Amino acid sequence: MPIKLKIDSQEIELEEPTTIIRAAAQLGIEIPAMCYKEGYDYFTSCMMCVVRDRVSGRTMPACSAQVAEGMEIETQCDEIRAARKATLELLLSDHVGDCEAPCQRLCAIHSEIPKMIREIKDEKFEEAIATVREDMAIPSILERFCNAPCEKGCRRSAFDEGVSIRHLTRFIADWDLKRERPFLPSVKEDSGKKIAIVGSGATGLSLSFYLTRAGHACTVYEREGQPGGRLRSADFDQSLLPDWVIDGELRVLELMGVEFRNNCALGDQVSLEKLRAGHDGVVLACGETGKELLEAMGVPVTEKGLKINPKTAMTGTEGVFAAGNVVKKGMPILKSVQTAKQTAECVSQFVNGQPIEGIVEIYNHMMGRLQEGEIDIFVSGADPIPRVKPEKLEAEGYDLAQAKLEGGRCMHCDCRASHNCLLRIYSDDYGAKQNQFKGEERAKHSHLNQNAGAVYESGKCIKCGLCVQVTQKEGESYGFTFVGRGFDVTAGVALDKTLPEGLEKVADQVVEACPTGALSSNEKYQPPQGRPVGAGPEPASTDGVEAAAGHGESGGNLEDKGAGEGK
Amino acid sequence: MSEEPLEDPKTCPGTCGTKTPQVDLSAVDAMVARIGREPVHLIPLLQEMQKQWNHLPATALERLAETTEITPDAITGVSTFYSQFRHQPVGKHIIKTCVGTACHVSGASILDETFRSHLGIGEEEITSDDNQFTVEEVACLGCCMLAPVVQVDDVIYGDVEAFNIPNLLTDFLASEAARAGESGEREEPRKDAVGEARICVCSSCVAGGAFQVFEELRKIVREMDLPVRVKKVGCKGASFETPLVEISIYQRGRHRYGLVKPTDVRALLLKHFRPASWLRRTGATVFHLLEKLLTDEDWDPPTRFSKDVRQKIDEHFENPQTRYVTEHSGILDPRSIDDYLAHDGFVAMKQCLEGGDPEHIIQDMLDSGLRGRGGAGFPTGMKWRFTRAEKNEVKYVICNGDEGDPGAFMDRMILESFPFRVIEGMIVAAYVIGAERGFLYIRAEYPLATERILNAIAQCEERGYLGENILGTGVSLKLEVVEGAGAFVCGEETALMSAIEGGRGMPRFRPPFPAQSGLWGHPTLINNVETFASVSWIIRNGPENFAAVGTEKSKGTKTFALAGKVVRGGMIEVPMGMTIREIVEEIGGGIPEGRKLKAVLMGGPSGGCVPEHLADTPVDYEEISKVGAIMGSGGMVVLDETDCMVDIARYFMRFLQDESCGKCTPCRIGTRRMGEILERLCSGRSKKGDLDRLETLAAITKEGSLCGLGVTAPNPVLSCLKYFREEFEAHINGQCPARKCVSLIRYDIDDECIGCTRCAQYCPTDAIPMNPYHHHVIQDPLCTRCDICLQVCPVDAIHIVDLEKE
Repeated sequence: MPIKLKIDSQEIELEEPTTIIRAAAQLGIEIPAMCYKEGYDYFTSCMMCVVRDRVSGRTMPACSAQVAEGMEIETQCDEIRAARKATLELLLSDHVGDCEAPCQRLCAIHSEIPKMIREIKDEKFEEAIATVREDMAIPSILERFCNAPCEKGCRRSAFDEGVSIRHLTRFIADWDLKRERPFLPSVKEDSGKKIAIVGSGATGLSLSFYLTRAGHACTVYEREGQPGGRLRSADFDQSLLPDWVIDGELRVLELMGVEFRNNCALGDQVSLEKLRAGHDGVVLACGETGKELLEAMGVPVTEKGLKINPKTAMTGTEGVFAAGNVVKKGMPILKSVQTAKQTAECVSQFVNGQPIEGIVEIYNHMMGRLQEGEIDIFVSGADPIPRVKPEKLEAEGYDLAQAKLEGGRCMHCDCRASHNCLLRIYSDDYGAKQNQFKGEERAKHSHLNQNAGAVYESGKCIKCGLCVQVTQKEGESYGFTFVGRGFDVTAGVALDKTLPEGLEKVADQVVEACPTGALSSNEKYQPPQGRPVGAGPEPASTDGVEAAAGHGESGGNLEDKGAGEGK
Repeated sequence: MSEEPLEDPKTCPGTCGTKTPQVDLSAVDAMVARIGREPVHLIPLLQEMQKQWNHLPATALERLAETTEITPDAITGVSTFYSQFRHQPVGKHIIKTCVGTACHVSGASILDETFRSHLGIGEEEITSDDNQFTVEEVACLGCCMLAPVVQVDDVIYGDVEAFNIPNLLTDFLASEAARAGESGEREEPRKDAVGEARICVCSSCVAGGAFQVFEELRKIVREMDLPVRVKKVGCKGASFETPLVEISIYQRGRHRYGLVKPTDVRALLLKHFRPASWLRRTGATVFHLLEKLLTDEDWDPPTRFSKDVRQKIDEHFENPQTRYVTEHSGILDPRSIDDYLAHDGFVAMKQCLEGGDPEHIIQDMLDSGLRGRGGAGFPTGMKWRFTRAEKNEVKYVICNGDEGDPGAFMDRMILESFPFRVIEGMIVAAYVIGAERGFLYIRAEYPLATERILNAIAQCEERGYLGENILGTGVSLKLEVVEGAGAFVCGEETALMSAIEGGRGMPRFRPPFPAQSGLWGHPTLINNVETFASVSWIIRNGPENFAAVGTEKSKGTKTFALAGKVVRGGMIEVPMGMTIREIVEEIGGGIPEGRKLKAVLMGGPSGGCVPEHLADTPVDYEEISKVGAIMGSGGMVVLDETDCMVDIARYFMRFLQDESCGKCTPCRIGTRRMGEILERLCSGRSKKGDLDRLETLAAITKEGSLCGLGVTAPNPVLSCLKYFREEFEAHINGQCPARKCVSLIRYDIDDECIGCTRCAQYCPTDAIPMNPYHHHVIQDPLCTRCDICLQVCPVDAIHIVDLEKE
């Protein structure tokens, strides 16, 4: 007898009895689940997969409950969503860790700093610049003047001094610009929309970067003969900002497809109406000095600057946005890039006909202040050397050896699973709050890295038992097991063995199965082979960097060397 | 101990420190050879190891992994799941403080603390420096009427008071040698006996000193050559007057004496029996005269210590009860199959096995209206029918004796006093469903119940009532006892089955129900002890007679463990439909010391409270649920006005938090967060919105948990909140109206103080400076609220007052 039922109003007929989650999958309906994984037994622990049968009014875990004739399963009704949110909030109340490292969280443009540092340390420069450019416009310029809130938030400062993130970023950005072919970030599919950006200072250039990446055709209007605006003024210490840096960043933008119209001042050469008519959106980034122009054109400007809706970055005129010093004078460069990033998002949403929400932050779990002794756990994963301070630091920045040394100081506070952790993804989906059911005390951070091919952080474990199942299934001689019971239950290696003894065969599989960052791969944390952690710089590559930097040439040979030595 | 030489200490691979005795691994091998090497043997093996070393040495566990089919992950998983198992060495003796509900409301919480301070055991430690004593808490010893109860090794002490703890330990050590010499031999019954001296030595009665009285009875009978048969019998349930000796003179009636002490025994026996020989008779008279001369006291048991059967007090306890499950209580010798046979034993079984139609028996069960006595109340006949209907070669029957409610002891008493009746019920059920193998899962804390059941099984097998081809009927049943290892959640049937299989007691999602797929995937019938014990009565007397008693939907009788603040507590069996007030007032004799009834806790950690104004609620599954409690397995703890409902809610939540298996998110974290809020309330640290948060968490845990433990975990909180919300609100304002929560009160000495210094002498923290003939003063920062000073003050000058807010 076939079984007929409905899932989210879709009818399905099944020849064989099966679980609700599998039946739903046949209809293309994905029911969230953390402890359940196809290929393993259901364990019914996380309770994320609850669904409701409208007929009986009962809620049940879809991973374990079987389909029955006549059921009308709802997978997304309010009641179910609320139950899932509560489940997540309970889990979050017992979760120890940061999704993102404090440096990234404090970074105004949200650069994934620890990843970049790992890549620098591993001499994977191509990856490192990709990481930087993922979030950051004009890094080579910015990192010469950034006030670096990231460094203030660096957890390492609780031990000695924060990691010199700004110089590490500048090192990799400079290396990139000195190459024959700098790295070009990916650009979204052409949206067919045209954007006019007025002004080519830090804000205007950044706007063109972010909007181009979003798939729009950008034209930058500059009243002077060359782009750069205030960057070329005495406002910026020109000894720190040689022409090759500005030109290099402009070249990247040009290669990405940004069009620059120099000697084209607003009002004189091109009117606002004309810009509006010729583009889907206009962004005014003409700086403090552009204010008079706007006033002359009849745009209302107050003493402080051009008035915009702070939520949408739009001026009083439909489709005209503004950002940077024209809105608020005296912005530090980091702020300019930040507002450019935010404004670009709003502009993009506007031209795509979406509601203007700006950048929507995703769920970010925070560990907060460290408890006694925890800093030692963090430091144990990093090189115990003082901050690297080279002689010609401000003028030339780090060389390769210094960058690698300094990179070794990073404690990698970010979660290795920050991009694929189901707890984070669902918490974001369901709007779960970390402190809804805050506990009396936070469990202690723990971090087990015994070169087992997997790193174990018990504070991130949701007790789903998948690791236990994997090690059982694959016949590990010790393997993982549940230790204790109740609230204090943990997953651990049987008979108190070490992590490598517990994971002789299946480290990769447990990492793959773990729905959170509790068990994660430590591959990306391992130093390149042949160079023990904390070892001194290698002279040959140092020479290479200096040579490359000195001649303003491509870093090609450095790249070759780095790759060669990595072997 | 094995004969083989000990392993060389130098080569010991484990964590053997200097303090840890060397582990003889050949003992592990011997255990494996004796018990087995399959996963199902894991828990018995661990129990045996712990018996040997008092803990589970790491090297022994490794040896187990090396030499058996049991995997390391199972060994670690299981040995850390059950609370019975210890992984650290312990002292020579183990002090277990019972923290069951009845003990809790009788002040058990200060006992552990007092033991610790007396033995100098710090908060983080469990063992005294001299390695003599280890302290631990135990969920419930099932001796609720003698609360608070403490067990030191095998000796149970009842009515323990904090100030008496030094004496208790002295007594324990002094009597250690005597206990070692105890003889276990069974005496042949005298042929010339003209009567019997019956005494119950169940766990409760032993805690009340019954064993010493039993020994004294035997000694005096032997010494004086009295024509008396000294007989251990099943419990009457009247724990309030234990130790209870019943003198039965054949054909001439019975006399019962409560609260008997060993020193009373000689006179008590001589009152009813005369020594058989003239010489002894003279001796007895001389002794009597001598004692009179020496003590200047005429001995008169009825007025001095005992309550005669004719006294009204006992009638009140007994008369409102209806005894089906506990039929012949106080008469049956639980250790004798002959005695059981002489009292209608196995009549029902024979009737069924000799051609009784299983369908007919199921119909009888349905007609009787018998519902599961474990608490959920599912019709027993239906469960039997479902399991019978499954087509499978192999089926199992399980008796759930994992009585986990920390305030209940019905199942313990039934198993200890009526083991044959439980077995009879199981045989009938097995016959009906077609099972040939069965298990009795019995709590770790009930060694006597296990012993009695094992003895009963052995006798049944010997006489053909169990085993192959029972009494030639062609029906076979093999019964095995599985001892629990300490986990409340194993009362849940899927967890229980996992435990029998040798795994962690973690419930799984149902369906499939055990009737479809249970033990090792086979159809399994699981009934509670009391359910099985009801079967024989129903079959012998007819389902209609069972159904004639009770209410519309709840038929027959129900046993309860009546404890807490009642004059007469114990195990009772009442007809369904009797009101809670009747039970408390008529059977229980009301609240002691003229205090008022506040509420009755029913159903333990899964239940709730029935407040005084709803005490006329009848004992009926549906009616009790309506008021927010549950019938439960039968724990009934009576509270008076000195009990704090917030403290009660916290107590249960703490219990559940310890007992949650930790599998599903809502229960694992929900109970913890609720517990934290309740701790805050009790300690005056509550935050804004805590009551709302508590209710939200309760709803989430109730709705979202996987098994019954989690689903019902919020019940005590919700029910206390429903009826006593103002008490919760008072705690938010830093006041405990019942003056129970130690962080919200302080002790004060008033002008009645005569300066006797008793309080100062007894204070374990020296918080009261000694000042003879002067008004004593408590130095509050040093006071731990142990209550000892109040207990020892001869003039009632010490009071509890609200702690003034800063």
